[in-house]
Amino acid sequence: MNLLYIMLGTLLIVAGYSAFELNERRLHAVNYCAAVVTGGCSALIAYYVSENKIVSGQFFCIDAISAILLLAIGILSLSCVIVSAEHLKRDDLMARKKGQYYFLLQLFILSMILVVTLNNAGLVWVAIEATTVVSTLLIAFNLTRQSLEAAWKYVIICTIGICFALLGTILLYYLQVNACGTEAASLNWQSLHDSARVYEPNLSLLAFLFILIGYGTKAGFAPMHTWLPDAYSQSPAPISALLSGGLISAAIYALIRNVIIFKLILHPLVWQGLLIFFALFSIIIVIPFVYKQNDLKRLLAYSSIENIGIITLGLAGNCYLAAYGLLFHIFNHALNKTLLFYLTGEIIHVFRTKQITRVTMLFTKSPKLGWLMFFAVASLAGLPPFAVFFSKLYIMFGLMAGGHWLVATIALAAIAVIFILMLKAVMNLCCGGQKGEKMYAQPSKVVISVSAIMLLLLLVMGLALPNPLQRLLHNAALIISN
Amino acid sequence: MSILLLFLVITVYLLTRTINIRSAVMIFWLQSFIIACFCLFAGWENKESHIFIAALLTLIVKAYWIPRIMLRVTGRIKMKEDNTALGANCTSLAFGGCLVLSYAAVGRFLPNILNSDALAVSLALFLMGMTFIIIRRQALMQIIGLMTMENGLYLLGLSVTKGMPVIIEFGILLDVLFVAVILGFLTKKIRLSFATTDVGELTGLKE
Repeated sequence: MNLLYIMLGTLLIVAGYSAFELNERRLHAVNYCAAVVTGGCSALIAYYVSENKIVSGQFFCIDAISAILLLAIGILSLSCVIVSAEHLKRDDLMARKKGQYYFLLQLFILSMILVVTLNNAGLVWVAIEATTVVSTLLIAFNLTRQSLEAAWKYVIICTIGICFALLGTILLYYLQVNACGTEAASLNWQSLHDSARVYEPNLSLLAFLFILIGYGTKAGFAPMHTWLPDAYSQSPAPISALLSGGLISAAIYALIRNVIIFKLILHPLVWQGLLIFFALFSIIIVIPFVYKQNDLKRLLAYSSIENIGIITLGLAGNCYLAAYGLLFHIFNHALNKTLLFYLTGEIIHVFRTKQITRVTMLFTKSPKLGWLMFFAVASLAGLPPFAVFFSKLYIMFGLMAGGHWLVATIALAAIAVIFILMLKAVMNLCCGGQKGEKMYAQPSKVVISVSAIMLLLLLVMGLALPNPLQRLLHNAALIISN
Repeated sequence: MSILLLFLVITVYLLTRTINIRSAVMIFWLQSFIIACFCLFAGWENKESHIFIAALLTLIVKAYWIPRIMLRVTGRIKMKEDNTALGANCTSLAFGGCLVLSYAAVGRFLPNILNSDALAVSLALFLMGMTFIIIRRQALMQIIGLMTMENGLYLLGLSVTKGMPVIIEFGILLDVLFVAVILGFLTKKIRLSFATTDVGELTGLKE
């Protein structure tokens, strides 16, 4: 518990400090330290929780599900601060507003950590809305016409969506008040879970629908996904990484917590059907956009939508194996997508373009960047022995074990098509024939090594999952599937 | 209570008719003020002190700070009219639809609830805010639509559950305030780089 307070306190203090510090070296040093503290504390908490313990306080509760998400966000924020420092050193536009950047970045990390550690449906809503507020400013950070447009779309669509989630949460509170009186009702996850069986089903369905649409918008489900490619493609590379790895995971976390409660009340066909509908729609709608995509960052954004679909399928699977795969996939996707955005940032820095057709012969021009990019995309698309392959496999097996043969087949077919399209894009990037842009700069060694370490981590997790992480996933899967 | 609700419906109707941004802000101010009054009444009837705190917070945040921010942003904008092709008539029509829809929804899903009027009005406010954002293209009009949605949700929480727990209420209000500040900031920047606040002009990013 103390570790959590230390972590939150550090983030808050460093955020405030960054806003006023003018000395460049001190600013970077302090933020490095904060990142190390965040990463270290989240790893320690995750290790503590993995030994069948629960960290809980008045407002906070960290069980296995939260711990996995916390660990992912911890690793992400550590790498993100390191990569951000590189970007701030070489990008004049961003360098002028270093203090503001770090201020917003640390607040963004803080709000995401709050989402996964708070134990109350209402407060989690508040924290999710806080992530929207902070990340809007980060997306619009460069204040170009495109980034302003992306930020406006993002904040309007996400706030409308999140209003739906609030509507659902208010209805949930009403259900709880009706079931156990005003004094006992507190919207605590635990108390909601305990009293859920007596809720009125009709109204529960309405509440679930609103919450699903609300947090689904924030996570990027298909009909409401339009903000996502714009926001990802226009924000600075480390922010895109954090948005795709952290923010989406946080939104999905809120959804998972609600599903755990609502599945006690609703008929399985109803809630599973709704989830499967959104999931399949998200996976399939991506195909044409990936096919004709020429913008590297938008390509990755559409891949995020696909992965959200896969994660949601795991949630709909409603069995141990699917739940295990679901959490494993959230973790893997967070790492993999983040490192890809870092590499993309380097490509944009080196070639001054993000158009896939204009970057060619990466293998010969910059072998390190080329091979990393190739393996990272292959890993994301689902090449074995990387961990992403296994998590997708678990989810599909889980779906089949639950009797959803048709759903699994359709999803697998779509995933296979996207696999081919993604590989085609990266092959064009790495050994495409035509003469592309020349190299304007060398890729940063720091970013390359951070990405390499993360890719190595994915490989190791695919070959042999470390014991504490396995225990965490096991416990979390039990919580979801029971 | 019913009179306050009636006034609320009238403010939303007025909002649909106005094309002048400054008067829209004033109407929004009135709407938030009525909601705060509603909150005070609810606190008095139920003899609960935490509702009074919530009412005070609403008064400060929604009926003072947010209109002030919006007025400051409007002050700098030259074009104050919202000349959308789908103007006032369309919004008014949508308003009628939303009102009927929300009464129908409340009758269908919650037939036995006490404050059915308040619930229906709050749902209407919520839906109306959303259609307002869809139909109107001026950035500030969209902000007002968003805040109307929030007002609707606030009224909903108040009427069905006598208010959420104070800390959640406080968090929600704080978020709403920050959203308003950020939207105001973005509006300012959009006007600087696009020379307009018509967000229908934002069409640079498309597939």
